[in-house]
Amino acid sequence: MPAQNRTDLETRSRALFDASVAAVDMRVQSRLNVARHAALDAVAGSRWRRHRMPMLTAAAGVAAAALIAVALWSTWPPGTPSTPIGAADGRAGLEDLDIVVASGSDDALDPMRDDVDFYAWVAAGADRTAADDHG
Amino acid sequence: MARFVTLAPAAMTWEGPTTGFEDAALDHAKELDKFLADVERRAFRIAQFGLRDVDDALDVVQDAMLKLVRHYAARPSAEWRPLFYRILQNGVRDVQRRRALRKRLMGWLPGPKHDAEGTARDPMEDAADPGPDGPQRLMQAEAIERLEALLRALPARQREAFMLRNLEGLDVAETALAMRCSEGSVKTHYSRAVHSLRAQLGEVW
Repeated sequence: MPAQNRTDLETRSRALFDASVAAVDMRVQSRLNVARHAALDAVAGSRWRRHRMPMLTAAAGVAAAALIAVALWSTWPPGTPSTPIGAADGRAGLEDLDIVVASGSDDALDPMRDDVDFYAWVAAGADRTAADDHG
Repeated sequence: MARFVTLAPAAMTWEGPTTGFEDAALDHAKELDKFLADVERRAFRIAQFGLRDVDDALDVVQDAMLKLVRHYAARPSAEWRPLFYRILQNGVRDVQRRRALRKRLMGWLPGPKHDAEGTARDPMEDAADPGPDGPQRLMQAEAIERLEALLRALPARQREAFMLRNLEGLDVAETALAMRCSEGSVKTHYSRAVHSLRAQLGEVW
């Protein structure tokens, strides 16, 4: 508010207030200084975190990834296929089925196939017996 | 060898974004520090007017500084002043509300520190000698005490308008921002405050 527009009451109350501000003692002034520096330090710390932490986080992430990779590589048994175990099992099953199908015969699928000669011999024996009986 | 000679000046004169950022942050921090140093004592007295307690007033000022720096430091410096006083007034009101609630709930406990009416310590007792001695100092202390008492008796919005406009010297727009109201409301509150104070102080002053 411009000074020339102030009434006496406004001017005097302002002067009184200014005098009381000037009279603030050193103990209070010291605590105000501490409070101000604490506030500024707080924002300085948060700004440091805001701008520095992403770089530190990225570096830590890269380091962690490298560490995990090294650990996996060093603990992997030599000669072990690099494919996952489940996938290897599934592939082996498919290969076995291919072998069976590609064999061109159904021996493996017909359990009676190995006994055909035996049944033929039994049948021949039965025929001879019948001939002897009639003869 | 020639390669090092060529590279060295470039390395020495290079100014990366980090350096520029740090310079800007340093300037900003200095500006903020200067602003807070300019207003801290006046803010303390404003808070002390409303709270009549040195420790509570200091706590409110410290909280206002912290909030301004945390939330509004990036705003244009011209806005800091009304924003700071808005935070300060909110802090004063919060303490007053807590006191009123505590008084209602635990009124039976003795607590001269939190007695807002009458028995609290006179703020002038904490003030150092401003210069004039004897009777003049006493008259000044009495005058400020009388002014404080009358300001406390005003409705809250009138008191805020008077303190921000007259004692702190904010203009109407800044006061409106600090009080979160229209400029017309500021003028109305202020006019009523002056009228009320003049009615009671006119004979003395």
